[in-house]
Amino acid sequence: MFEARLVNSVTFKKVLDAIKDLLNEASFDCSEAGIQLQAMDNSHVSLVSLALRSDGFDKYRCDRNLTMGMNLASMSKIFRCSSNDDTVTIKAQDDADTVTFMFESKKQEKISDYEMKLMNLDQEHLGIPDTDFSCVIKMPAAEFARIVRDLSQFGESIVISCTKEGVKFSTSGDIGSANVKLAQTSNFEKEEEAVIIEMQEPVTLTFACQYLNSFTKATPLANQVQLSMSDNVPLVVEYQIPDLGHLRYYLAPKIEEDEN
Amino acid sequence: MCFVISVMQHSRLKSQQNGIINKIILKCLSNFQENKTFNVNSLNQCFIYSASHKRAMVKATKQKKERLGANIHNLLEQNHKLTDYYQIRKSDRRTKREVQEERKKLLEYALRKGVEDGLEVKCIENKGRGVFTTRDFLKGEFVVEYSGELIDISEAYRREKKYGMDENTGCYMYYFKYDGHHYCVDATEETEKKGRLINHSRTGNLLTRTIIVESIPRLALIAKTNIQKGDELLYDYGDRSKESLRHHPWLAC
Repeated sequence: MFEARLVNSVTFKKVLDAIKDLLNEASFDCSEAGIQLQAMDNSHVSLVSLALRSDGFDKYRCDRNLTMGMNLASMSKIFRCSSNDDTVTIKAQDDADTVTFMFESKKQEKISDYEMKLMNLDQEHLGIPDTDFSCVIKMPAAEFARIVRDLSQFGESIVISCTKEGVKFSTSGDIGSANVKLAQTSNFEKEEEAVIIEMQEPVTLTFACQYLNSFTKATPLANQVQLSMSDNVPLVVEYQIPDLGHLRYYLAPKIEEDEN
Repeated sequence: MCFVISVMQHSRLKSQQNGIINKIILKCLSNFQENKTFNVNSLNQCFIYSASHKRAMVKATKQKKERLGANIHNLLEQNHKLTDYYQIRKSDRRTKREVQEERKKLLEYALRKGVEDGLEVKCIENKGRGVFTTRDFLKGEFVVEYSGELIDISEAYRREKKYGMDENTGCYMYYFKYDGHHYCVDATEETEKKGRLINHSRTGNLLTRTIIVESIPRLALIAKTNIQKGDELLYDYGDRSKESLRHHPWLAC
């Protein structure tokens, strides 16, 4: 028996919105520790890694480890049927081929449940080692989304270069080029508006806009986003989901011209 | 001449198609020049050219589309894949710790649920009851729990004395030590549970392991080797004290 109850169903809705751009379907691995999801997009260029801790749920029970393959479009259809302040309960029997989502309205006067067929997905998991990154940038999530959106108008890829002075996002395309520089904030009063850079050595990497844009769909989940970069490893874009877990995106860099 | 010019006006030249159209115009022109006179035949040829021009246009757009497709393809080509950096983990390949933890979880689950499948009780001549398998068990697999009442050592000695008075009572006390404490599982009471009926052998096919479930130590019997369907389950009771051997000489074999 698997049962997970979350008073704020809107959080789950936001998580879905944040991943359904990149993934059509995904396996949710449920264990006593919580719910995990790891999946690459079709092109194998990016990866989504979601972890929701069991203690972040208002009620959590998982007698036996189970993997639930779900179609994310269908899942978001179901969540669209709920109100933001509904409580959601996700239920599945051991070895079941369906999962049930139950929504209870705040005053308990309306209870709706939706049963969805599970899928058998043959998904490849990647073994991701712990890496010490050369640069870790923390910045407001909305600011990151804005920069990516603005720069994607000009080119197909964004160069992120991180130095002691700050972080620079740049792109160039048919109409010209664009640069956005962010300096570290010296004023730490407002934590959520801060730009903090921890740097061991400077890094410059190029990434495809298309994927970065998809990552920023997670912006509603968190105030801050963390970008971790090192030479020759994928970029990690991490959003902390308050009291529940995290959502991480991995993105392989573009092949530089001199590499060919 | 006037006809050719009207073609030019009509086709609203796009810069990249200039070349193709120019070629057609040149061809038309040379035709007109050869014929010198404007006749039905040359008019026909003009139509033929306009048709071939259309075909050329179609071909050009097709090429353009192909180029676009190639661009998208290039876009992907230009990007590294995540699999260049991280290895795909085979589904059954996990770290040792993960595997151990999972095994522990499975064991706890089996104990909590009281799993007892794949077993049957049969009577053996001169030996009494024994437990046999009705399916194969893999090495390391949970088989059954030695379930009974968990009591402390002093209570166990008291009960043993009491049971000793009655010749018909068998030996169902399992003594073990966990975390510095001596415990005993007393399964003397006749129950449905099959774990208590498994016979002794010094070279049995089961091992006992102490598993903590909800902070209570419990005894799980685990397959020591691969066990085939129909085999009798046996494990070493471990009791070789003189007293026990005098009462139960079979403990030595």
